[in-house]
Amino acid sequence: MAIAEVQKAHFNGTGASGKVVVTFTAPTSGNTLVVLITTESAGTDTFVTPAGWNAGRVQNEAALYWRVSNGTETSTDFTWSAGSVTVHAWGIELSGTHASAPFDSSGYNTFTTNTTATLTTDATAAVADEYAVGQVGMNGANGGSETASNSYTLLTTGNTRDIAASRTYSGNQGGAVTTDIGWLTTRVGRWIIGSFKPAIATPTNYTMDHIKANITFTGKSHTLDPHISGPVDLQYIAGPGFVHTLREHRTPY
Amino acid sequence: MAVTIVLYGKTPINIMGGETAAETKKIDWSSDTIKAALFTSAYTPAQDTDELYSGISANEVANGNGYTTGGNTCTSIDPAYTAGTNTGKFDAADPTVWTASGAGFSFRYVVIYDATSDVLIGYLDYGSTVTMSGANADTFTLTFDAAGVFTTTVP
Repeated sequence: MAIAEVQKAHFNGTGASGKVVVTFTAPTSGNTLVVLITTESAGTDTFVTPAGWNAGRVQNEAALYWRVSNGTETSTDFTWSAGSVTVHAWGIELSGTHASAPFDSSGYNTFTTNTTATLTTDATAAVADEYAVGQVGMNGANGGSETASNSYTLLTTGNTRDIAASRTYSGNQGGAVTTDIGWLTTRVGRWIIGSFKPAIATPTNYTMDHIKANITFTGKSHTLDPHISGPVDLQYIAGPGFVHTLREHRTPY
Repeated sequence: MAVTIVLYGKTPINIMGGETAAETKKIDWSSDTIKAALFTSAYTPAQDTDELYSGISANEVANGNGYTTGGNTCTSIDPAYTAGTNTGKFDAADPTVWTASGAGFSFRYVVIYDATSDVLIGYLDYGSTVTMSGANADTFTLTFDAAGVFTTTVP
């Protein structure tokens, strides 16, 4: 079963509140919950991992958290230690993910005065059929015209200061997962991306029971031909004083 | 599934030392390394003419994704004679189970050969291509006949 987005929602958080509240509507136990956060500005904000969540990647300007849902995560506060920082977050529920260790790899970087960012994970996708989601945060309105390459789909458009896109791969990726996200107005910003592994199907165990073969060594019929070791002499007396010898050579029989 | 191994035509001669006195390629079941290698359906066994692993290895499953070029070793090779029966038993331990990973791999034939001398011994045909999923970590288990990989008899 391919990984699918069950629900996804966008959230904003301000420095005044010191948190962004991410909510899910009755998540299904066993599904994977993913939260992406990017800031609007550069800084040294330290994100705090909420209890029960796993830090897939935490940087000063972006974070990626995940957890296998127990069905009760309807509202979670994601906080940071620094002061007035505006953040934008996505909460995504995924079905069809690995039951215990869905997170695979991540990537992060910052950029200056760009209208595009290449999001890519640090490592090659571990398995086939992974799901990837990335987010770009920027310091002002992006002007629209948001795009995502490599068959990624924008989670939504029009959020002006962050753009997110995702893709469920089919087959072996054979490398890092990557997408180029573009927008209209030159901005400074940062991006984060993560990939998640699909559920493992029950392995098929192919077997072959070998049956031996036999080599038969067959004796052949042989002819035994004895040779008499020496000639046989026959003598007869032809007359007085004459003895003749006849030498007979036996041929094999 | 149960499959009878097909011995290559020259196997008995190579057990006896090869076709010529100068031939160094022979099967020594007591000391050589015996391996089981997986081959794709691109391989067409020629029982009469196939003799060397290097001559058919172009159709072996590619290295990686749970398969190692050359195949898996069949340890504990053990030639034994059963007194009173005129029977020789050429036995070996089952090769290590193959577990697919990554993109997985496909195969159809299992070829048993002498990796020390390069000489082929026999092959088993699964009958159709087996596609091993790496994502699912599919496995392939070859179990040798308890009576041996092959036997010899003298009437």
